[in-house]
Amino acid sequence: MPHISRADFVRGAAGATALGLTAMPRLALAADECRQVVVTTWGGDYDRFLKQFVEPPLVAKGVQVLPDITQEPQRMTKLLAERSLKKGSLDVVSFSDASMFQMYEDGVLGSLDFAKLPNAKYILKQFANAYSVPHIFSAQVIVYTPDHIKGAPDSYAAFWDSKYKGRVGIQRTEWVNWLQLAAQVGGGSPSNYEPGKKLLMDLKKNQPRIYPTQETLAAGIANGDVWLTPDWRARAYMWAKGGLKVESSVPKEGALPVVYRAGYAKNAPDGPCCIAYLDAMLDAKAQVEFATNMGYVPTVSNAKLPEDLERRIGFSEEQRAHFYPQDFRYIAKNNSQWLQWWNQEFLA
Amino acid sequence: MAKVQLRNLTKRYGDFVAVDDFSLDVADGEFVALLGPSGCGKTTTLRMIAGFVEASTGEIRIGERDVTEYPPYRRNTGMVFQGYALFPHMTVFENVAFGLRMRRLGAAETHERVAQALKLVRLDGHVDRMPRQLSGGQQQRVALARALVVQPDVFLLDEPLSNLDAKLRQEVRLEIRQLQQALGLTTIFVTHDQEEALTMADRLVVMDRGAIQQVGSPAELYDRPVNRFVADFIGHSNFFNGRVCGPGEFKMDTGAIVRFDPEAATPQGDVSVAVRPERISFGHSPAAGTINCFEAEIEAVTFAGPRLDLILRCEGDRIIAHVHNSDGNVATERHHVGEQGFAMWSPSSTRLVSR
Amino acid sequence: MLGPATLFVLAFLLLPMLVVLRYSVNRYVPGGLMLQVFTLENYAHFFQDHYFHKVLLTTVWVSVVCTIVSLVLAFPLAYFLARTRSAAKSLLVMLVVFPLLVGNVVRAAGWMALLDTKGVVNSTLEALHIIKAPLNIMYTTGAVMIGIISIVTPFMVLTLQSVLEGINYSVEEAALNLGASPIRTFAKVTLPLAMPGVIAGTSLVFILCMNAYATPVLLGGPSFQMMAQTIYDQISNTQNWPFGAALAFVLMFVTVALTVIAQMFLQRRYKSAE
Repeated sequence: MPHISRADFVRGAAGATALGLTAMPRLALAADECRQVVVTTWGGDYDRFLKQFVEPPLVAKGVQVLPDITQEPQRMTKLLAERSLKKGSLDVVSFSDASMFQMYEDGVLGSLDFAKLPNAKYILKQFANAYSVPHIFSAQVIVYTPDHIKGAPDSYAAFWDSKYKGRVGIQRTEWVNWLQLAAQVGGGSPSNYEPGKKLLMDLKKNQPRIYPTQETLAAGIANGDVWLTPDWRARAYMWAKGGLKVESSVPKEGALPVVYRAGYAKNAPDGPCCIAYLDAMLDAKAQVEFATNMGYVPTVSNAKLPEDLERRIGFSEEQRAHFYPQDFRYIAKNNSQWLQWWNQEFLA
Repeated sequence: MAKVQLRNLTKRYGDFVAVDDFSLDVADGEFVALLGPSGCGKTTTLRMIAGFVEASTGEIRIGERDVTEYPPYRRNTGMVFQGYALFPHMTVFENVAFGLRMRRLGAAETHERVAQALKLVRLDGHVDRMPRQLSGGQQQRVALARALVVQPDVFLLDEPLSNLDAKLRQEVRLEIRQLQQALGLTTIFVTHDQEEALTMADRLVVMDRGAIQQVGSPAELYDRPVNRFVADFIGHSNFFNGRVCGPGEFKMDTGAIVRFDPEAATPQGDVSVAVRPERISFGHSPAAGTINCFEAEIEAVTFAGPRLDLILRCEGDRIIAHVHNSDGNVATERHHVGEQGFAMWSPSSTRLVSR
Repeated sequence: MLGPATLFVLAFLLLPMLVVLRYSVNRYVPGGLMLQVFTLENYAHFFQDHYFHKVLLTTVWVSVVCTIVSLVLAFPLAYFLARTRSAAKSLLVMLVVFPLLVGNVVRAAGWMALLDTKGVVNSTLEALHIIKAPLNIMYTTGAVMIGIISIVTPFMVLTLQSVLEGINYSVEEAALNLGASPIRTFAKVTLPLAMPGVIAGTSLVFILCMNAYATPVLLGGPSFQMMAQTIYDQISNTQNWPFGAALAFVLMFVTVALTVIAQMFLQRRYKSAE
């Protein structure tokens, strides 16, 4: 064995650290030492707006932001695959509600010290949890075409109304939402969607139109085939912005919320950066920009939307209090079974 | 076999006339060669007879049938293609049997006739080979057998020897000629090789730019070419320009008079005088009784095996004279560059051709 | 010896497949991570559930129809391209290749614009008073077939063309000269000689059809399912990797098996073509 002096060894180790090859935890470093952050998130508008509205203050401080654009399933797989590593490749991770919960259950998320996030105190209480920050939210409403439907439908029951036979639009990939919605109408509960199945079979008699994607459904609305469909209020807003003549109304049964969240990987290479990035996401000004450009509502109390925008995309305090709760554990357990039912019974 | 009659056959591609008003009668059992440089329309003519090219105007009769409008598969011609076009996925037997099978002959008769045909081309014993396992000459003979076995009314050969080496070509030439004569095949043969045409055919059709230049036996074409193109394409000729100035008298542009046979046909219009190199002799003094005798000087001498080629300057033109190597003493030293003398030929060797 | 190319194939093709194979014998835990066990229950699930048999059958039959139709459509076109001496030939080849420059999703969108109840086809037919009510072409098996055929036919054309280019045209003339009608010339000479191209083209196209994803999703009706879509649903929407992996292996096995059987059949039938 060749002789290695102590000095050589120290130099070598230092080099390894610089290259990020060692597992030395850097979470102990102060927040202002943040250099580089890997953000795994959705591509398209979301990523674009992060760059435009959230990241500039960090970039100004010399932080290098590396995006890692993936679909949710890929992102989950990657996180899980790196779970056993002392240091992973991802810092900040974005997920929708249900997936974020699953990642939390799988133990891959780092726990947050909200005292280090100056903006945390503004987070709307109903969206707060221990393992992520809520970034933006919307909720499922009844999207309808005012040309065909006079007066806003105020209940999900409208989808079963024989007046709208052949005019209800269904997106093929939305079985969970439809089961939940039907369960709300037909005596189910947040942890029992099963009564929804019977109602959906009844809905088939109303000859709903089924579309493979969101875009094809929008085309159906545009050409008058579809008069009403459930969707996020943010999407209704974007459709209207894009020239589609649609309006939306909040169902009296209580709207189903969707919250897009961000957290950080337990084995994130750069802890301080994660904290800084998550705090920047909560910044009131950035939140208002996301609302204006994407139709999703701010999750912080200090972000004030213009009145007109608030009316079109927002939810009153009362409506928010009435949001339909979700049991993510229940949904995850039954998803596979529901897909089978959806394909083999409902769509058949 | 049957006679073939072609009447005013013309093929146009847009403005381009590939074959221009081609008329020819081929007698039953006759071997006719279509000869000409590439692009002269000889192959197009052959393909019109086979039916691969549709005639723009004109008529094609094979035997008593007017086949002008017939598709190729109803003409009963037997064609040998330039690259042989054997079916690469069939054995020799299957290749030769193909035409018989298309005629729905019984198995026994098919076998018998295929065997006969292969024997004729001396290829019996190769029946189960694939074409790629055969030499070029063997492939060629399979192609012959395949075309002959169906007993075609007319046998069409499209440059069938051009893919063979020079020595083999000599052999196959003879073989085809013997086969043709033994079977009495009406044969139309396309070639650009004058030697092939002269040695094989009963009659030659010389073509240029889509049109027939002259039709005749090999000797007729060689000795009595009607125009400068034929005189130059078949063998080689020396030409002098000028005009006819009296019976049997031609005044060259230099003013000298050349005499020719006044009995020979005289073409209309502008004419030249053509003299074959082997008819010109060179000497230091005019030979007795020589009528056409002109001063000449040797510009170059080339040894060509059986003969010596003398390039002469004569009457302002450069001409070639052949000196036969009949005694083995022709060696180049007998003639040398700059040598002065006389070029001489007889009136009967002087042909008038249209320009 | 393992060359760099072999290693490359090993690393980037075989290893991921081995990983997926391993997944296919894991146990799915709803809402959780899959368990690293050795079980054949995912394959059993496939063999016991008629729904998945139906999906596989649909996939096979759509693929067979699309392959045959694309062969029939492509052959004359490939033949023309191989034989033409027109100066426009390279332009024509470009036109055949051109659709390949546009993604499958975009092309499916194009078909949607054409085939929709208010699309170009229906509007035209209605304007011409050929039909009174719009035809339901979109979201049918027929629409999927039209879409897939439009995607795979260029592959078939190019494969056939390269083989047809190599066939000396004079052998077809020789057949005609020997008394074979054009149909018999095609059957006895052209087709047997083109058989390597037919085998390569149909294999390639069949594999593409069996794995079609975007087109069936976008153009198929709500109850229409092909394997790729079903696999995607299992993996992406319910995180059921083990079952999705098992389905992927079933699809791969059936695709390879049918391709090999078809090749053997064609090769035996046209043995002399070699």
